[in-house]
Amino acid sequence: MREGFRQELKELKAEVLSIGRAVTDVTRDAVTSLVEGDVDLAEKVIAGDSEIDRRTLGVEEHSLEVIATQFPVARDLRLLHSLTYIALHLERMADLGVNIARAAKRTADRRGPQTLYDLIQAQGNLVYRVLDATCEALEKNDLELARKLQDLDEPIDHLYKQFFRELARLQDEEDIEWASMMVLASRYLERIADNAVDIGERIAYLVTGDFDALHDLDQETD
Amino acid sequence: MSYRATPVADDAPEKITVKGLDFFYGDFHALTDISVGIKEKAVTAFIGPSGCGKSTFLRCFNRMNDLIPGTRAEGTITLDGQDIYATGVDPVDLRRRIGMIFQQPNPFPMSIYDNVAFGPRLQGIKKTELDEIVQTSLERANLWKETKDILGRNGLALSGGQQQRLCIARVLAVEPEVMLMDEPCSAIDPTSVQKIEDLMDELKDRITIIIVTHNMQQAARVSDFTAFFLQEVAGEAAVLVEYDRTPNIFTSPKDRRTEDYITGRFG
Repeated sequence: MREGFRQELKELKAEVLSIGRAVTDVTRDAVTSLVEGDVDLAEKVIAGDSEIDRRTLGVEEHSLEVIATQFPVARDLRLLHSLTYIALHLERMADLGVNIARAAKRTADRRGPQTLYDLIQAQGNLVYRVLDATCEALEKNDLELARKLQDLDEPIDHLYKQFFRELARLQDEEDIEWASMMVLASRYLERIADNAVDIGERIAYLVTGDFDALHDLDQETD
Repeated sequence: MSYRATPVADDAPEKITVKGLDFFYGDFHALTDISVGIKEKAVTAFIGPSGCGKSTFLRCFNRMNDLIPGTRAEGTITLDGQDIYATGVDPVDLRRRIGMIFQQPNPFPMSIYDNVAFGPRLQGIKKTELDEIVQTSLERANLWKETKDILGRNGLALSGGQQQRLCIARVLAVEPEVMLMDEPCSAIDPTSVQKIEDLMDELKDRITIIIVTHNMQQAARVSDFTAFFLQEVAGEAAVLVEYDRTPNIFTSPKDRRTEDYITGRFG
């Protein structure tokens, strides 16, 4: 019976990892659809969101069942608790990806200055790196990598600020709606990375059992 | 049962302090170098696999092991700072201050009333005061409502769960400071288990409780502190592996051996 329980824990973790990789794909597709003005790709991202919602809810439901029936303690309990939180973060991240895809649809019929597309793409590339590292840290229970996510996130915040500076140089005749969509997209990317940093804190708690790892969460996501 | 809303303060006094205790059954070294401070007015649970010495350790506190020939304890155990193994300590008086509840309810073959009045009578309490002591003790053991009209009935006629609460009432009647409970719930039905767990939560306002249990969910539910004992090699003395606040033990134990035991990886 305890073997079945261990297998369930493994499967739940594998499912959360798989959702994590799906969210990385969502982010990648959303940024590509925005930068290339690809409406079909944007539609695909938007349509795929309900599946991620369903899967994250499934993780929560399954975790509750295991807690109710198996009385997990110590690292098993921390794993179940953390996986539920991580799934919730992933669901939010996918929603932010959908927001980027929506911005892609609204801006696809016009073309702005290339510098701004380049900035979004650069920011996107950094976010993929954070997401890949997040999945790897979870997969391997890698405390060091989980703690490094914060550092990987910093240049993303810098690019978001640079985005504002570039916008300020726009001429009056530039399309204001287009510009604001781009700012929002940059903001969504930055939020996706913030959620990944939060997941890193959850992984740190999962590995160490030290709740202090979570105390700064609120400040870091502001 | 109310959840532990107010944790026991870090600086709460120790009712029992154990320092460097070793215990022997003849040549067999059962416990080695145990040091632990049992907090006053709290519930402390002892957990560990069968044969890890937790019941032996429990029986050191009221010197029940003295009754087994060839046993000896080294090190010190103090109750309110006084060595309970010192010359001149009367074990009978000690067992009044430190009462004990066993796995199998063991009422005397006499009436419910006489079971509870037994200890106070031995202490020479007058008949006029006995009625009140019996009632108060049965009330504190949550058994008064069920027995107030049948006090003359034989204690053995009660159900297993009621018999266990009768034994608790019998211990409470002599106003103990500490109650030792050795697997008190393993021979009774789930409803009675619930009642006894509720009772422990109420009693700890006044007394210090130490419980040995094989049921880790029970340890997690009822105790403020948990001590994990382990005999690592068969035939060798058991050690106290980890002692901490119960929520810490069951969420983030510090020792890998505790972690492996409570998560069911061995034992």
